[in-house]
Order: sequence, then C-alpha cells, then structure tokens
Amino acid sequence: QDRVAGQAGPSMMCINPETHIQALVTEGDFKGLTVYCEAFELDMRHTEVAMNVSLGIYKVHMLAHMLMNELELARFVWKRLPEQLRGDPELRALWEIGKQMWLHEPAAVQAALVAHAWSSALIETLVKTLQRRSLEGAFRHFGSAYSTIMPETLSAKLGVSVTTVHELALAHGWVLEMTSGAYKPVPTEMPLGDTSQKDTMQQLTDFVAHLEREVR
Amino acid sequence: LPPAHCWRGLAVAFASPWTMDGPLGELLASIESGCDNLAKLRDHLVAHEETLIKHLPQLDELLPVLHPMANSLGMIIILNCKAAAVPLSNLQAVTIFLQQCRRLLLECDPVQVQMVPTQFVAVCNKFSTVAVAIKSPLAAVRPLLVAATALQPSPSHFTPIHAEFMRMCLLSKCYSTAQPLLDQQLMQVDKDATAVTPRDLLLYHYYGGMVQIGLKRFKLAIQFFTLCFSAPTNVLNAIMVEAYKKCLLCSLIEFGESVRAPKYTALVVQRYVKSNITPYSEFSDAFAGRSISELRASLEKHGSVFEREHNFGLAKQCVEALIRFNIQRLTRTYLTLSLAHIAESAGLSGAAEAERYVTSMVAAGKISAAIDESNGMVQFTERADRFDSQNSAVDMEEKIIEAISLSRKLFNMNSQLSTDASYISRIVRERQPRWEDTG
Repeated sequence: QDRVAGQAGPSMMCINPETHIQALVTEGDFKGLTVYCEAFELDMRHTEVAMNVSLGIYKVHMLAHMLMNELELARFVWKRLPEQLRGDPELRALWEIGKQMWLHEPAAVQAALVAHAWSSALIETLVKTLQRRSLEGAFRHFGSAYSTIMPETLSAKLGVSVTTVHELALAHGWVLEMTSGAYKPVPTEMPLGDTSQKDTMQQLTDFVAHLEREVR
Repeated sequence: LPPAHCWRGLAVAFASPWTMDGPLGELLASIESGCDNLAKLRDHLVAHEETLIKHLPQLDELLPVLHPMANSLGMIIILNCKAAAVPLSNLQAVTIFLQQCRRLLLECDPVQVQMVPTQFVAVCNKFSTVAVAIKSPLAAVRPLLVAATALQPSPSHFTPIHAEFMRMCLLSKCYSTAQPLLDQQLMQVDKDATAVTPRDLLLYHYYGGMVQIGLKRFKLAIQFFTLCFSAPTNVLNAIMVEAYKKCLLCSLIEFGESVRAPKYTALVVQRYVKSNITPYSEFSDAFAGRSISELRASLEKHGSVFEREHNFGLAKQCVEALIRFNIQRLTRTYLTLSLAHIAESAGLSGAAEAERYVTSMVAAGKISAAIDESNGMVQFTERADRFDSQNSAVDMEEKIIEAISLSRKLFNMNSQLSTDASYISRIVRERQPRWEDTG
C-alpha cells in the first residue's frame, strides 16, 4: 500500500535544516521548499530547534508559498504562527508583502518589498526573486486588460519608476504611440505546445474498446 | 518490509534489562512472541483486557519496550485500555499519552491495524481529543494521516479517521495537508473492516467542504456539502442542515444561484430548509435581485446570525461574487461601455473601482475586455480560446479517461450488487406474487 505523499524521508531529518534550505534555494526549487517546510512543521520539529532557527524556517516557508503564488497557503502559515513569533519585525514585514499580494495591490507589494532591511543573504535572494516575478506578473496583468495606457499610470499602478515601465514595455514589444504618449499593449501569446504522438494510439484503442462495450 | 521477526529482534535487543513479573509480564511475553499468529494474539489480548486495565500505571513502562511496527496489535490494545482513563486535566498524563499515540500511529503496521479496527478508531479519537485539549491539534495531523491510510483496506475505502483528520486540519489551519486525502476517490464503505458509522461520513463531507472553502475550491466544496445533506435519512440531522447553509452560500459565490439540491435529498431535509433557515433564504433572495445595495442591507440585517454560525466570511464573499456576476452580465449585453457606467450598473463607488474590478477579472480569465485609458471606455471582446492547443487536448483526454474509469467502477459495483445475497432475496420476495399467478 502506498503511503500518502508528502512524508519527509529519513535523510531529510538528519541534515541541518539551514543547509538543506540553502540547497533548495540555490536550485530554485520553490515547490521542494514548501514541501520541506511543511514536513518540518508537521513533524513538530519547530518545538525541537532554537527559536531563531524556527523563526527562520517560518520566514522561508511563507516566502516559498508567495513565490509559488500560493497566497492562501502563505496566509495560513501566518495564521498558524505561534504567538511569541508574530512580533518579529522581519516576519511582519514579509507578511505585509504577502498581504498586499493577496489584496492584489501591486504598488503596495513593491513598496513592502523594499521597506525592510532583510537580515540574511538567503532572505535577500528570495525577496529579490519575488520582486522580479511579481512585477513581471503585474505588468502582464495590466497588459492584458488595457488597449491603451499611459506610462505614468502604469508606473503608479505598478509602484515603479517610469523608466522601469519603458524598459518592461520594450522587452515585451509594446508600441509607444507618439501623438498621445500612450502605450498599446501587445498581448502575450500562450504557446500552443508541441503535439507529441507518444501515447495517442494506446489511448485511442482504450477509448474505442470502452465505447464498444458501452454500445453493446 | 523486512519480516516481522527482524523487528522483534530489534525490540528485544533494545528492551530494558528489567523483566516484568506477574500477569503483565506474561502479556508482554505473549505480545513479543505472538508475531506469527496475530489472530490468536488478538483474541488473547482482548480476553485479558481486564488485566491491562487493572495495571493501568504500569502500562507506561510497557509501551516503550514494544516496537510500533512489529507490535502494533499489542500497542493498540494497551492504548485503548489507557484511553478511557486519561484525565484531560492532568497535563503531564495527557502529554505522555499524546507522545505514545504519535509513536504508534506514525509507524503502525497496516496488517495488524486492520485486525482491530474498533480499538484503533477509539485510540485515534482519544488522541485527537487530547491534542485539542492541550491546544495542539497540529501534533495530530501527520499521525492521523498515516493512521487513516493504514486502516484503509484499499485506497478507495473510507474510514472514521478520515473525518477526524479533516477536523484536525481545520483546527490547526493545515489546509494544504488535507488536499491529497480530499482528492482521493473514496467510494467504499465497509463497517466491519473500518468501524465506520453514518455520522463519520456526514462529518467527513462537512469538514472536507470547509477545507475546500479554505482552499477557495468552491465547486468541490459544493460537491462535498451536497454529498452531506443529500445522504439518505429519515431523521433531520444538524450536520446536514449546516452543510446545506454553507452549500447555499458557496453556490451563490460559484454559480450565482442558490443550491441545486439533488432529487433524492431526504424529504425531511427539503421541508426543513424551505422554511427554517430564514436568514439564508432571505439573503439568497436578495442575491437573486441583483442589487448590491439590497444584498449589503441583507448582510447587515442577518450579520449576527451569520457571525454566530461562522458563515460571515462566506456571506461577504457572496457580495464580491455578485459584483463580478453583474459585470459579467454587462459583457453579454454591451460591446463598449464606459467605466463610469459599469460602476453605476454594478453598484460600485466610481470609475476607479470599476477599473480595478475589470482589471482583476481580465487577469483571472473571467471576462475578456480592454480598457482604453484615454477615454475611460471598456471594449468587451470575444474569448480568444479556440481550444486547439496542446493543453486543451490533454485536458480533454484526462476527462475522457476519468469518465471511462468511473464507468468501469460503476460496472463493477453493479456486478457486486447483483450477486449480493440480501439483494437477491429481496428481489425474489418482490417477484413472488407474479410467479404464484403464473402457477
């Protein structure tokens, strides 16, 4: 019988959590990061380590969910935090980012991302990645909703300088209308993906076999 | 897994040097040596439960000697005897019991667990009660997940532990942990193998629905709640009523209309919800009126009831949903509309708020529109999806495979039922008069 997925293997238990987390961050494996942090929490290991270690892991846990755009889950991590940890200023600053993401306020997100002097290189790296991704995501959202938009408006909505808006627009192939000074966003094409023929024959055989059974 | 006697060897190797005398010592010896004939061991232990209960204090010394994997049977029966006597007010005793259960549940042997389902379920229930009592439901989440999987004779069997697990996830706010279990297709119910009762099923679907709400999967939440309130019954059940209320609010959010109760919903439930859940019925009627201000007024009026029944958050989301539905309706009527007009029709405060809603709805894929900032006009366009991408093909194939496997399961269940003794005797009884006629 298969055990339900998500249990931490014995190897994960023995390695220093900080080392393991660093390895996952270096690989950019944010999904793996959420799995590891969740297992850490459910195995009650937060009660076994020093408070600053526990705090560090909660911070990474929240950030990992935000990087995966799992804002509900980030919110639940915040809600699950033990009372004594909630007062930590850096943790509160991280949750402020998550909260603004949850409220769909891109300008406030950008402001929150730089509002705190992040304590470690690890957190700094994760926050910078989050900044890039959320800006890119917000830019595309506005691009899909507008047929014409002024750079200044976009700058205010995104919480970045007009120069940054011009850079992003250039990178996405937007056209600037000379007379009005407004941008005409170009919608990003969703890739069609390649149609591979691998399992199609087997599947079609299964479908036909089933239909014959039903029709009989 | 290595054979049982290897684990037994380990247990003996790490056992403390003292030996236990008297009846308890004999039981310990029988547990350690009984790995070869588990059925006999089970009967022996159940017959000697009195002895175990008489020596309650010494049980704490007995448990660390045993190994969860090899001696699951023994440990379950011992913990079951302890369970009835753990005083919830004594923090130390409670913590010890919690640790003992965690140790067992995280590594129990499914074969042995399935031999004593009633006792196992009782231990799990007490375990979760204790975890809640010391305000640490989180400690029960992982062990109960493992326990539920261990008790299942197959991955599609339902167990009472599933319901307790959901409850712990809700209390500890571990919504993502519950997800894999929720996605399991639980279609088999076996009272003898899993000690399940109808109440467990109702609770599982009720709690499961609440977890789905937390994960914002409203369609699935509706499915779960529907399974709960449409279960066959002759008597009104409070769980079903609460499930109906939540289902009503979720239906407003997801479909913009009230509950589509299945035809086979028990009459007693249908009659009750028609006239006895007035706040919800009135709120639903206000929603159908499509006026945001009316809905907000209804929310204000019934706010205290919703608050008391923990549905206020859901009700607030209904207001948001109505705004979105109203905007969606506009896209079906108009080709172009000004932001100010949208704000007026949808009951929003102004063009700026309308702009926010339109932007977020386009980003979420709910409507297809383009705002022209220069004149504040919104143009509604047709959705561009031609369903010819690889993703669409994969999606369709998955749905077909799902339909085929469901059809196969139905076929198997039908075959099983047609050969079931009680079904056949009932059919024969009902056909009896006709045979006598033809004589």
